[in-house]
Amino acid sequence: MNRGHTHQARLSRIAFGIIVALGSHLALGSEDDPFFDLDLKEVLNLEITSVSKKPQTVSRAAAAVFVITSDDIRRSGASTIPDLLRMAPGIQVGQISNNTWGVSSRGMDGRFTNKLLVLIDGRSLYTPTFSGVYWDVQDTVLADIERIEVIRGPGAALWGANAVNGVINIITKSSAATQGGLIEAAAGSNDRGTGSVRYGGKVGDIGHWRIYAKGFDRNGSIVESTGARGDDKWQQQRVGFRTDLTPSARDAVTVQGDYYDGRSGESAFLNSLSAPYNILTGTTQTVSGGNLLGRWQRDISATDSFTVQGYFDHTKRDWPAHSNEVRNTVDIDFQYRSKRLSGHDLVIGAGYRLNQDEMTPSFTGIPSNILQFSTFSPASSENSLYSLFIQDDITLMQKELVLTLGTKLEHNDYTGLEHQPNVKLLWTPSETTTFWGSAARAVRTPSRIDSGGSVNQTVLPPLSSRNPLALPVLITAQGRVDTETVIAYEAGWKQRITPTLSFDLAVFHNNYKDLRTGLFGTPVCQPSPFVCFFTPSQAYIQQPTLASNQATGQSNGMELSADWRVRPDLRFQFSWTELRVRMKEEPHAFTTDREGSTPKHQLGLRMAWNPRSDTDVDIWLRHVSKLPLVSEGVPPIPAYNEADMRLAWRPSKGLELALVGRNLLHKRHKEFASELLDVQQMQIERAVFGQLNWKF
Amino acid sequence: MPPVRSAAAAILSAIMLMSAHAWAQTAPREERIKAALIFKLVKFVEWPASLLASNAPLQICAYGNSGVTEALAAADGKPARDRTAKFHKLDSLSANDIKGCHVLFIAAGTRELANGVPPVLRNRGSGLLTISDNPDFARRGGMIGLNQGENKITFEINLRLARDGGLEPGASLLELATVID
Repeated sequence: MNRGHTHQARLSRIAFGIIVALGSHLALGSEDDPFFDLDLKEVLNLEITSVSKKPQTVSRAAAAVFVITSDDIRRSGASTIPDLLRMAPGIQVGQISNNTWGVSSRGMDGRFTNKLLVLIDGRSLYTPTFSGVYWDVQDTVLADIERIEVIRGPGAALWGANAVNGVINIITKSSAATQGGLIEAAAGSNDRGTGSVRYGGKVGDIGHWRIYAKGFDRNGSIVESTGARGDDKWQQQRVGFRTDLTPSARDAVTVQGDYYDGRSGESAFLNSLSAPYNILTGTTQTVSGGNLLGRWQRDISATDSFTVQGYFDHTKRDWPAHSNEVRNTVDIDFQYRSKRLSGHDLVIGAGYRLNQDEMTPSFTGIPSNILQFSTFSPASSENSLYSLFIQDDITLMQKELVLTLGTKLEHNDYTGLEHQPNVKLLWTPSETTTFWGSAARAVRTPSRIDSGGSVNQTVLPPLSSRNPLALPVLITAQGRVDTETVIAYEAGWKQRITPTLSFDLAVFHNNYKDLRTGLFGTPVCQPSPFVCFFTPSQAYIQQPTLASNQATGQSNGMELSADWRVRPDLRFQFSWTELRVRMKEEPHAFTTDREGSTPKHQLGLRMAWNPRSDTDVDIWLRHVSKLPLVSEGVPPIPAYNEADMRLAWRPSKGLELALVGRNLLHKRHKEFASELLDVQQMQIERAVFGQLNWKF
Repeated sequence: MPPVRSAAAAILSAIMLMSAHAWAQTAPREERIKAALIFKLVKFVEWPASLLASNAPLQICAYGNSGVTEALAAADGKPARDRTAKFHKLDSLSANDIKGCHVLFIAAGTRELANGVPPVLRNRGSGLLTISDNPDFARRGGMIGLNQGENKITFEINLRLARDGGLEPGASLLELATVID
């Protein structure tokens, strides 16, 4: 009860006017919200929390942040998370097939892109197998997402390795905000059926909960070379829950979990060392996984608080010709925040992550002479990661100038200790203007494939356009990759021009060092020179490439977003991205971060119009410029314009009916290709579908 | 595997332990702050005696799905100056439902606000204090708008509309608000 007394004492001290004398004598019952016991001035001084390591509202953040709100999500008509991310400037989303995307921030996109960190409610989604994200299994009831914070530029000082070019933070709604029932259903040209059910309730006074179930069954896209329907069918079901509880006035506890399983098909491009060498066939990945996360936040005093979070994550993916992967992750994080020293806002944190995996070859549904794209040695491994971070916001001039210093020290089993410092300056000369600048160092540490992995990239058939020899050529890669680093310089200007018109501009310059490369070695005749000489029909040429870190690179870019609420019923949101990437490779080396996989320009314009209060009309236009070279062997992907449209009508309270058209400008178009050449070139079709959303 | 399993077991049991406690309301922090702000600022507003007798309860109403509505429910039964606050969650904004409310919070994004504040909430001398976190609420026919500014929640008062409604915001409230009109 001691704390209660000091709390009361502090209240009286800061008290002003008559009202406080009346207002602060409220009982501090444990079921009451402590915020109700503060006086008005104190309430106005409370800071808004987000899941980010330190709560900040976006307009005053010293970073290039774009927020996709739940309203944006609902009105977009998008049915997957990657499709939502297209709204954010600086983010490149290239759809490879109907269940595969390359998603990157500030360039260097690919199916196996590795410089972006993605989190959902504080749980890391990137897989340590290749440091990328399996987007086909990242999903939830989209109506339960509160917002998606898209942070371009390094976030490593807080989030650690792999937050090299950006962090995507998906934050779901508190269960208090999802009370009652929700049924969502959709079906259309591409979607054989999507259904979600969510229900949330209270247990008397003991908190809020929700549970959900979701399932979908979608069609494949179109194979470019034949015009036939692809094998990239996609079917998945998932269930999950979230509980948000306040055991006392100072504590907030969240427990949440999900389980899913499904099948992700692929029009695969497989290789073997005997005729026909390249095999076009359909494969099916069998995926499943689950996670359980707990988070406890405690306000120790008005200035100090801490958060403890732990989660367990299990994933399983049987991926024909790639690997049969089983992975378990345990992660524990602790952070402490203090504003005790005046002018300082300090956060310190520590984290531990344990990763255990088993990677074996997968021949599910394919002949045994098919080459595996990736093999791992040893097949099973266990890696741990320790980290410490500290960040301090130092107010140099009240309300105007804030200096942020931070760094993260991280120890991994591949390269040892890595440091990732960051310095930022935030200047807010007025309520409506923000300027910021930042310099940071971030690293990408090796993933499983970079250490003990080997890759069979492709087989060039004998006497073909890229192989004049009478023997097939197998291109392989193996070796050890070391840490890649970036030094990033950023600056930004956020301005509210009128109460209804604002823009956000960011520019940056990135210097990359030690980027991953393959170094061409001397071709060797396999399995042995003896076989090559006497029985050449059983022989092949191996062209080895040695994994190494022999490229440097630079990127320069500009991102602009503007928001104009013309009238209460009409809003425009505009985004514009300019990006130039230049790579410099050592002789005979080629980098896997290809400059040709990045569009120079991307433009987006969204219109949200309510002709009547029960009717939504949304139009979304996009332009993505040409991709000259996604990977050796992939023809240039032309620039494209696309348009989405959504019409929604709410005939009665809680009920919404919508008609959505996606990619309306073309019957089908190509967006991206897998740099591993493991997928046939696919085209994405125009899609039209209906949605029903009923809240009860 | 064993370390993974045991760590997972440790997390699980920690969660179980935490779950064994008793809980209270849990709207997101931002929405709890907004709810507390609403409850605090209404104490600075004077109602005409004809609409709010000196010891009658202060009727706080809320409409729309939002954590603010959830969090504001905690105001029920709490003392507000020399009265007691009563909380009501409304099912509609019909004249019948809002009758008797002294304070009305409307959640951001509520359909009824898509084309500005509906006329039923703008009657002269009605004594109904309208509050919302819908963007530019106080500039579009509402009395008090809650905004996100800096790291904090701020509020705007449309003084003319409040006075038209028969209400008198206190000087110390105006000092902390952005006054428009």
